[in-house]
Amino acid sequence: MDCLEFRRLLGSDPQVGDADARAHMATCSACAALAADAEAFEARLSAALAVPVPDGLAERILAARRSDVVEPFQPRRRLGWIALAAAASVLLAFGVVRYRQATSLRAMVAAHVTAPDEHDALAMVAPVPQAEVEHAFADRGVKLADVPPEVAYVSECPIGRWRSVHMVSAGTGGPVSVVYIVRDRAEKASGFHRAGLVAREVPMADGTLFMLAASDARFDALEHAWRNALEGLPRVASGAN
Amino acid sequence: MTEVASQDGKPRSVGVAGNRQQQFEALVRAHSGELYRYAYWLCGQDALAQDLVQETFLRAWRSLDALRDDIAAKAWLATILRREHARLYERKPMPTTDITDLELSDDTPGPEHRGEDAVLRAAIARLEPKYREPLVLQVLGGFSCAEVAAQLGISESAVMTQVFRARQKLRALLDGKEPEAELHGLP
Repeated sequence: MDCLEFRRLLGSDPQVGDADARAHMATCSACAALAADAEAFEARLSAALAVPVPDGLAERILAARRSDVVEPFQPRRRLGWIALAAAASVLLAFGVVRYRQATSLRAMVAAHVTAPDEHDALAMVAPVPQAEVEHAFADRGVKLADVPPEVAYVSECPIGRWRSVHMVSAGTGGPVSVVYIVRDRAEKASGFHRAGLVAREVPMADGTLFMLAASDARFDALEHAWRNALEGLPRVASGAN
Repeated sequence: MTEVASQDGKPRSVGVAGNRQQQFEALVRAHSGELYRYAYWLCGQDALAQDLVQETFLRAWRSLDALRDDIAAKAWLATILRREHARLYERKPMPTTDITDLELSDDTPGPEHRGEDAVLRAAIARLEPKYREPLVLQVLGGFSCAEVAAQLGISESAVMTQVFRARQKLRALLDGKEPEAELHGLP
């Protein structure tokens, strides 16, 4: 092994200490010094890459798994095996697609409301005019019967392929991020955990309402208020895009 | 029987039937921290990295029966995470593709190391993904060049070149030099 080979090996895999490399180091003080320098650099590199892991990450993952159980498909009556297999395939495919959509939407909503450029929204406490909230929903083709109080931030945010209205509800107990996904209705209400937040998704009118916060203390009241707002009048404004 | 890692890192055996939850919990406790770090260096956002890890484990749960041993688990989970990242990235481009804005709190031990680590982290963040990802897999994941090659679907020699250049670029960025100046700087 010559110096060039040794240094290429050192650069591509500094942990490798094969016999050839050791033999070369024993005879070349310059390469031995480089190896010592590389060892120090690797230690520094390892420390820099080992970013702090958020507290409670494993517990949140385990809690999320418990709240994300998929109910197995169970046929209720006897069918011919071909018909049964076909029906099961269709239902399973539909279920898998719905499940994948649901889990990725949850992830994307959580990622959106916790993104650095959305942090300022959580600090807002002054209520925005009701007309702004109505306007944001009207742009999404939804007419509100009422505007719940304490909306301190409203924005028509795209979340992946979904169209949404992103709000922050200020109030005692801390802010709650409220996201209404238009025209994609969850099959059922459920709670989950994401990004260190407790969250709830609720099918409402033609869409799904997400609430995310440090605590779920205000979720029931907000769910009630937004159900009145979204389901109190005909749902889709005529001629809306 | 299936071997999985316990919280102290030692393998233990669990029955396949009836112990799925136990196996899953052991996997989460053994690998979630490392996967989070990998996810962070892929996407550059704390919240999204946590989501990626969570989604990875939810997918792993549904395919847990395919897992045979803990050595394979690490590579298996990393592959799921890479795919999940690609899937989310496809739908929602990252605000910064090269994670130049570090949002992490730097609570590494010893205040004398904070500045140094922060500078090196910024340099790592400036690496192109094709250099950063194999380096992260090698240094953080402890994978060999051959294993990284299998993960990324490229040749081993390509991985060796990329991690070699990644280190050179980092050193050059830290020293304020052009990377190529040191490539063949034999005395």
